[in-house]
Amino acid sequence: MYTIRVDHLTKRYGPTVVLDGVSFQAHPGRVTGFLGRNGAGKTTTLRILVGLVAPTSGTATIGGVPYADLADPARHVGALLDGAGFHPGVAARAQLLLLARGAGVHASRVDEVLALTDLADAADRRTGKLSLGMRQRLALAAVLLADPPVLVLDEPANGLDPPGLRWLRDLLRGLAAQGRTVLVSSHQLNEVSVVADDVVVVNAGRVAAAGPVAELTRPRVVVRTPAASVLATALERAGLHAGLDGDVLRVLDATTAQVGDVAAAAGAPIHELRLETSSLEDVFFASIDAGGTRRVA
Amino acid sequence: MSGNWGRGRDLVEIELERATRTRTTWTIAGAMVFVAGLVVYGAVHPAAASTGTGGAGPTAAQEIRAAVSGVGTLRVFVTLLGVLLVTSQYHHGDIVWRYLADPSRALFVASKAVACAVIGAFLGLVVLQLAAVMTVVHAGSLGLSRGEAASTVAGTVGAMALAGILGVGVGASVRSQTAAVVGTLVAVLLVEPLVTAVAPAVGAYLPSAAAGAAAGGGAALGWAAGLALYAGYAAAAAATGVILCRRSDV
Repeated sequence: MYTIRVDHLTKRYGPTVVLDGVSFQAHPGRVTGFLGRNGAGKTTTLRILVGLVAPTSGTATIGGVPYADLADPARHVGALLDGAGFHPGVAARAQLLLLARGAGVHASRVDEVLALTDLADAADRRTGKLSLGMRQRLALAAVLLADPPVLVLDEPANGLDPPGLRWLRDLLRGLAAQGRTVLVSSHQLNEVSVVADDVVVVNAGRVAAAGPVAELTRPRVVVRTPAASVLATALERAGLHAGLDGDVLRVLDATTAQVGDVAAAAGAPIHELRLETSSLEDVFFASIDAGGTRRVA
Repeated sequence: MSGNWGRGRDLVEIELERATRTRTTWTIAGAMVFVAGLVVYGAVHPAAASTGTGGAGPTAAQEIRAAVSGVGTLRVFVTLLGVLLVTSQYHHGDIVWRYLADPSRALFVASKAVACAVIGAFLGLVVLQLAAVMTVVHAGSLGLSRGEAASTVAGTVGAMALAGILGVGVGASVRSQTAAVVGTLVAVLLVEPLVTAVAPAVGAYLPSAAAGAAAGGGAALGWAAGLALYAGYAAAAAATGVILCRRSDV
């Protein structure tokens, strides 16, 4: 089993800092969503991970080894990267046969991945004649050729129609369920929210939030009070953990009734009391607006 | 060691297969053979060949030398093929798949260079055969000794193979398809003739002159020296390609 590990990755192009100390891990058996706005540094990070771009500093390893040092890397890692294309004059099957040969994969696997990606009927068409969605499916077929234990996918949903999106979702879930490590970059938060177990949010070249989706989106009680520190102490005594931000407390694993009772007992006047539920979109915007790094173990 | 050799052979075979599956290769090869036919016809046809000779027409040996010298200049087609086979992979983005399968930039350039050398040598043999057949049909014989024929074949085929390596080196160094093609044509059609006109002593050692000498058409260099010098240019281009590919992000 292979863990993807990115440590303090930095990339500069002249004075432009694209990545500024990015660190995170993606684990086997889980789908890790890699989120960020356009230009946040997602693609650069993934390209460094598979050895296409050299980092200014920091390391990126797969199973503890840099991609370039893996023996037969295509057999270990299936990578779909932005900008990866096919010669328009070569047929889909011929492209895959060339890639299979380069990866040391038996030619019979080509027909398997063509069937898996629903491209069997288009196998003999030149790639220049394929639609955007079909080219994306062809790229995914290429990724799956060697049946790799690690998948690194940059915006894999691009160009897919609704049935294609559902197929991709089921595919990623199925691959993770088999124990594979799946790292998926996207800016389509809804797609990621239904498939990812963990997320890493990057913003302006830094990790803005990271952790399990279930933890990051866990409901919390929000209470506003002028006696915030008094209430925080009372909540701790009651066995509840509260995060303090000015005059606002956020309390995990509690009900509004519990927090209200503790506040009443402590004599803290309540100006606002509500249950806050967060979607992945909320987490995303909160993390990039905050500017800091939010990590949940 | 044998594993590395086997891997290298696999990569060369993949590059040859990739080249033969693209229309660019067949278009350039077809154009080259067609132009070769015209060039050889110009060299051996009575009216064209005797122009300016004043008296008797050229001998068979003179005809085949003129024909070989003419087809030798067609190595620019092979150089352009080498350029395009590298730059089209960058242009269409399938270089990403290539480097994912094997991250070694040196192996990429080397396997591509060997594949293009094989294609260049094959095309060299084809156009030489064409020149020989047309000369024999016209003059009744080649008029060359066995030694002359051997050096002609070795020099011309070698120059064609090296032209492919040179093209791969240029393509890997520049990577932009338009810039590499335009740069190659400007160098061959403009810069080298200009330098040769201004400073003939220098021009005699430029790549085109070296390749021309290898094909038996050089005044300053013999065929072996021309081939060796052209090999130096091809090796330098390929080495530059490896260095610049290693330094560049994809």
